[in-house]
Amino acid sequence: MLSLIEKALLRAVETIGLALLLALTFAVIYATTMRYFGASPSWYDEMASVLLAWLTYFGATYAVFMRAHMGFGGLVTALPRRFAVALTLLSEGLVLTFFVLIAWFGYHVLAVAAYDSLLSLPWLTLDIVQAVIPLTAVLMIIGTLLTLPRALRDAAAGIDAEHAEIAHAIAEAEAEIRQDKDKSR
Amino acid sequence: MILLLTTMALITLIMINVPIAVAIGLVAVGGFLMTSGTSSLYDVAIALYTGATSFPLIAIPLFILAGNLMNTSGISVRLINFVTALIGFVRGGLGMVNIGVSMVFAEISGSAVADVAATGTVLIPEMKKRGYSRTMAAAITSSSASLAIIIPPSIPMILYGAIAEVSVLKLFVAGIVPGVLGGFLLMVVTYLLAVRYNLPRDERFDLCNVWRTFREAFWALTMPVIILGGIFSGIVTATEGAGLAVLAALVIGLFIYRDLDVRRLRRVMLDGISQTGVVMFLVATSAALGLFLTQAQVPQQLAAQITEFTTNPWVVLALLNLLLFVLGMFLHGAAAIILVVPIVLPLVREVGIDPIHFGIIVTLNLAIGQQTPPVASVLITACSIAKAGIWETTRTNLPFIAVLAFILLLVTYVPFVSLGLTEYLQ
Repeated sequence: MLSLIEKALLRAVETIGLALLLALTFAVIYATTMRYFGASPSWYDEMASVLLAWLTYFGATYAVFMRAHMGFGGLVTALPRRFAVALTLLSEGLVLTFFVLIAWFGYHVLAVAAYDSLLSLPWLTLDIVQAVIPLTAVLMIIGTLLTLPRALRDAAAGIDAEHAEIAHAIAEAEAEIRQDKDKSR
Repeated sequence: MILLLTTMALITLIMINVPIAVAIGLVAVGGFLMTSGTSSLYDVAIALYTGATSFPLIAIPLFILAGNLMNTSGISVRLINFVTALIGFVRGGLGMVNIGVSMVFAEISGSAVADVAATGTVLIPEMKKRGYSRTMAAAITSSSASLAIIIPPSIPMILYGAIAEVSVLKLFVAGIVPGVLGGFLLMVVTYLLAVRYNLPRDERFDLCNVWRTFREAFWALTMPVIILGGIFSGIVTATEGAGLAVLAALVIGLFIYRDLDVRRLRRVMLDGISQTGVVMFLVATSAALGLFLTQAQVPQQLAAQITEFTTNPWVVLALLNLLLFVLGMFLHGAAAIILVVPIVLPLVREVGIDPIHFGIIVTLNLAIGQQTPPVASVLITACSIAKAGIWETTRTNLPFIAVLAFILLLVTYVPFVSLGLTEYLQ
């Protein structure tokens, strides 16, 4: 059940992230082209910045689900199993505290932001664009909780996230080389 | 005092494996709570949003995507084949190929690990097959990939440019001479070691082979021309150049080389989204910490205290180099830039150091930091591919690290090396 929820949420975050990345890329290419025709779109600067912020937070949420955020796990994984698990619980608790605070204050600040809007797109009020903070903070809380058992298992087994990432990157690159060789045969 | 407490809190949180971005955010929250009360946390929420909206940083997800596309769409492999045909006949040629290719491809995407994995998995096994030791193959790959941090386009430079509010174009131009010089010296060291260890010449020079590989790599070679030519000639800005790079990589991967299919494209984009999230979340939480430190006047106080002791820019640069070197051993490149630059920048400006000059010094320090364990993801990746020990590789790596250190000293104390070319910009 939990893994189904994780998969569904991950798929939703992936889809939104992909849409945002495509929209940002398209906006930059479109604005670059239009600049050469002397017709730079007035919304470009503001809209591209908003898209960047949304991409940042949905990307950060995706990285929470994938446990890909930069960290230094060398010390914790070197400790005896019991200490490693205890410290992981402590650090996960701190992470959750941070996201809860951000979700709470990020949500309550929206009431004030509603009085303001983008200069180039006056119908787009700031509470809508800034809603990404509480929204993704809640998603990051869920992502942290859903992937917590994995983090605890890794801590107990002495697996460092950085080494896991390196092993994953190498495996991917090697798979790609194999695929290219098969193709060229 | 505030700086000391902030640093200690940050180190403690990072040591217990709180993700660095969250650790920075937690310290900001703690600082605001202690000095200004709960109501100030609304400012933190706003800073977290505005911190991620800096316009120059839009280039980051686009360069990351372009870099990932290049890694998976057969562009790097074709380039490797062409450069091997071109200089493979020299003793130590494959090592030099490695340096040349790494300098072009590394540090474009957001993950140094993914970049080294892409080129290293092709070149390191080949080098081992031709008689290079495991540690030598790993050391050459690792040091050249790190030097690439100062060769444009480079994500750390875009980050520095946005934080220090200086021209990214000038930073890119300032990195060219030190980057090319460093690459040349790395090749010289490789040649000397190849002669000493009597490594074989990799292949005979064959004009037909050069022509064949050139034809295959032609479109791959247009990538740097499109990106850098466009940016340096002023036709496009760095952000627009990044957009063009994505477009070019897509066209080449999908329609010319046809190595890119929908499944690969989706995976490449998801990797890009994750890497963007990791880097930009750091930027955003650092904006919150920056707000706290600025309100507490920490950067100004630090500048005042150091300038009371000395106003000599050379001494200040030596101190900053030492700080950055130590930090680089324990922090990833992007995190180090985001954390340190806002704090030391007022000091840098006050003693009259050009922020462009300082930008190259910072990024070079981070290049060396990527070679020095314990946090040295580039070195560790190269070692994993070569199946070589980290410490034994570090011993082999010493002459290459010496080259990087020499370039750092040269750049630090002869500003013309980095700034000379920027004078030709308007």
